[in-house]
Amino acid sequence: MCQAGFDKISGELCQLFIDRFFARVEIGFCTEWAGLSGEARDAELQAANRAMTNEKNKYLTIFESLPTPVLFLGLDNRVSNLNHAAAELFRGLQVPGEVYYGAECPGMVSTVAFLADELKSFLAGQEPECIFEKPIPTLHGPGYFQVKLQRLLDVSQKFQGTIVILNDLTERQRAAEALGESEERYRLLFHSSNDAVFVHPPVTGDQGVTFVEVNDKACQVLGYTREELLHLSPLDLGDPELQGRFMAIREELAAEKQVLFETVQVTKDGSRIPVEINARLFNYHGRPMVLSIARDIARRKQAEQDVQRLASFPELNPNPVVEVDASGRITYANPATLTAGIRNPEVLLPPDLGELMQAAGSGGKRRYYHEVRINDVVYSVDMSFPEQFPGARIYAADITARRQMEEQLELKGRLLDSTTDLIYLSELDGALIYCNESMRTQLGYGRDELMRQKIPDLLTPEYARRFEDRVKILLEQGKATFETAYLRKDGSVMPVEVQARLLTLDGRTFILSVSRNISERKAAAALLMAAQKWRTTFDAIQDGVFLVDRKSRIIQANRALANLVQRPFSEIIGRPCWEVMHNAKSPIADCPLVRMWKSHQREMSVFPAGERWLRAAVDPILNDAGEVTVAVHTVTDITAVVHAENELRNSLEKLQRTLAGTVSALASTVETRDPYTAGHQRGVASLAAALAQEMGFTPEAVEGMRVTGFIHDIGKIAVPAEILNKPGEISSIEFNLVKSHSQVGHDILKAIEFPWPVAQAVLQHHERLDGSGYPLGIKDGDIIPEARILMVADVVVAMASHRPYRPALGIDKALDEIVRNQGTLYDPGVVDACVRIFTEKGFKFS
Amino acid sequence: METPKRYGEAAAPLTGRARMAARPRRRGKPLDKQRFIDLVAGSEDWLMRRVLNYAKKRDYARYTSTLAEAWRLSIAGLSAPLLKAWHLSDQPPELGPDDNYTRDPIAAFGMLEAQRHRARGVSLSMFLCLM
Repeated sequence: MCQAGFDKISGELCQLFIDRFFARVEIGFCTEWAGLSGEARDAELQAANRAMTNEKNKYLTIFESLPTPVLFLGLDNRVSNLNHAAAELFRGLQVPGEVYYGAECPGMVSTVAFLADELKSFLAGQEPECIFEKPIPTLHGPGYFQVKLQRLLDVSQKFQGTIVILNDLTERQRAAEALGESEERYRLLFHSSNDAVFVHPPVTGDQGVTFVEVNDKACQVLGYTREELLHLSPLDLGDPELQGRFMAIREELAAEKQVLFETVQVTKDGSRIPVEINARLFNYHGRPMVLSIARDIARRKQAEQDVQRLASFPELNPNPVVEVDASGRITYANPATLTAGIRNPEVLLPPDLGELMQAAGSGGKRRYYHEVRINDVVYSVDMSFPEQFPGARIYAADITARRQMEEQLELKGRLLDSTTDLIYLSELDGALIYCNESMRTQLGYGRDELMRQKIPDLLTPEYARRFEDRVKILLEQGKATFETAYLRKDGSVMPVEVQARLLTLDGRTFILSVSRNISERKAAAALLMAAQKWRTTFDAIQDGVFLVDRKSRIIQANRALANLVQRPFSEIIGRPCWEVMHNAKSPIADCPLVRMWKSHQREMSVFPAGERWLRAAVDPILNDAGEVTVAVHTVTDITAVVHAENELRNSLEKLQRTLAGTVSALASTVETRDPYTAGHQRGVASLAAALAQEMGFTPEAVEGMRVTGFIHDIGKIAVPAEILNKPGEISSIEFNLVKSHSQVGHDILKAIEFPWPVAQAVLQHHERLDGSGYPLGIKDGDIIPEARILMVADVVVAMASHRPYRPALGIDKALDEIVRNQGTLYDPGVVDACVRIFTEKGFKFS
Repeated sequence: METPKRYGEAAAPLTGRARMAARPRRRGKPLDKQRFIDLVAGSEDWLMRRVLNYAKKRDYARYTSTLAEAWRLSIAGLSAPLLKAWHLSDQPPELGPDDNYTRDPIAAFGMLEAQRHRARGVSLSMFLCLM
């Protein structure tokens, strides 16, 4: 009193007032207490006990309904209780509340050994709670959980034990691990490639297309860091000439999904690397992306250039070499030409040089052979039109000795012509001296035409490259047998088996070769191999696959099918598929095979087979006339999938039941304490859901609004019932207590994992757009849409219904209130929707 | 039917609790009631802390919550009827030998509190001692 500044008399008067007030309170207290009979006292205690038991039952229901596993640990760290969700994880209690009601639970999990270390550390500290993640063994196998440890305090804040709340993160963890493994495998493959690999969007010519991924080899070869490369475009690395070609490359890539081309890549230090790029278009998360593999072909290019360089030094050639320009005029003849006594090199030129040159210029043949006889000397003339040379280059070789030998052999050759084998005699470089008639006819050449060729020219490129190696083997061993393939004049390939041996005539060495056409043998082997591959694949498929004819008889089946129906092949092949699959005498109802015969397209169905579930797919195989001749029937055992789906469905239903139970228990908790607002929450739930629907929320979000409305006043359990039920106006102190219900509601609900922002909406449902609301005074964009709906529904339902301190005001006044404050207190969109559903759509509280 | 007496209506004897009635009555300038109301309403926190400390020190906390909010409610439960009584009369509610306390609003508040505290397991002596 003195500190408050009262004078002495006023202070004493106030003190006296307080003394008398408390004296009267004490008199009332003692009078009431002393006047109570023993019987009345028992009745009072029983009533209090009933009320307390009811209250506990409500919380027990909530506890057992929580989808979150919760365990209570006593002072000795042993489990003193656990809810249903926790029991399912660790030890199956039979009924919810078993421990609470004092039943014997001999098998109940008694310790949480898997949390021993964390518990020890937590209890040694002072923190009220701690949260961490860790793997935990459960009845269903190892799981991964977020664990929350919280101290359990009694009313006097004395430590009574520990609450363990688990949040199952197993699926998230598995998904993360699977993703990690997948990424690791991808990285291993990507970075271990010997070629430079790039990933980038298709190049459009615009700026901004940069690499999205490059491998280590690319960085190593090009001399850039990975970060540098990720800022570059494919065109930044390319030779300028690529700019001119890239439109054509892009079009080919778009059309063929894959393109192979040669170009030059420029490294960071300016070096130029010839590369062969294999670019493939693929789909990456719905976006087209290009995977480019660049192979260094510097060595291959070098080899090609070496060949060209040798050809450009004709002075060193011991045989006559002549060059002519584009007009057919001789511009060069090497010294060997004169040495050979050819004074007029024009005799080496073919009479139709002009036509051949013109044909070569138009994309025709660029190499010809012919023979010229000069002064009893026979020359084989090899004429070519090189691409970078504006004319023709002619090489002549003296083949007089070869010709003489041919003439000697001609007689013998007639004998050889009668065989079907291909026989030739050639120089060691493959120049033909003799070939039999069979070789000419089977390869499709005329005699002279064939004799102008060399053996490597008659072989497929693969075998042409190996010709020199084969000659070396022949020189070492004297004879050899091998397979090779001729290229016929019409471009077709003839595989042959060759028996070759060396032949020495007049001190010179030749090759005598006898080749036998093995096309049929090769084709048969190829067919056999293909059949074997197909059969292996067919049998390796885990799904049962079989072919049926038009009469639905099984004509072929794989091993998986035999396992699936548990019959030997002898009881499968030739029988109708319904007999094998269903033990039926005719097609089953909704048989996909029957449907396919009509629709001529893939048909599917799922059917039970004993304890298993099978999925059947039937695809037609059409003949050239477009008729279905055979059907491919695939049967997949999807029992595991169906079980998983059922489990998932059951789990979801259970979750929904649990959630509904929790919500219902929460709602009834507050309504039994506050009879005047009984039905208020149901009204808000109904109106909030209708508003959400009107505003175009998804069906799931509408359901979320219904749930939120149903429990939005749960925080009122913290407000004394006397205040909630008090008729007449309440004091500012009491109002402050009422105001706390938003925060209390939030604190209760935040622990429950709703699929909607229920706790946040409940916290904000008394906020207002202009910041005049409570508890936080937030405004506008800080208030979530769900809370904006809830606040309007709350006000309308509250005004339209009877309250302890006033009668109902009616829906019209409620709508007037929200329209008057539209945009200042309430969301304009929500207010418009509310007015619409009442005035235009006749909304009634359900 | 007997009607409740107005506060301050009965004359106070000079014994027991009524001794304080012998204190001088105010003359002249009227008492500043609003100031008293502000003092009581504004001192709730201070009072709450004081009582809570005492309760902890004297071991009352064994039987009840030590949460500050619970004690704040308890203090508010006392200060609100006090201020209400102050509104009704500017004279102390003196005690008379023939008063019927069963019809007295302040005593009725005491009776209600008796029922509540008994239901929570608080004994008569425990209540009076902490009061």
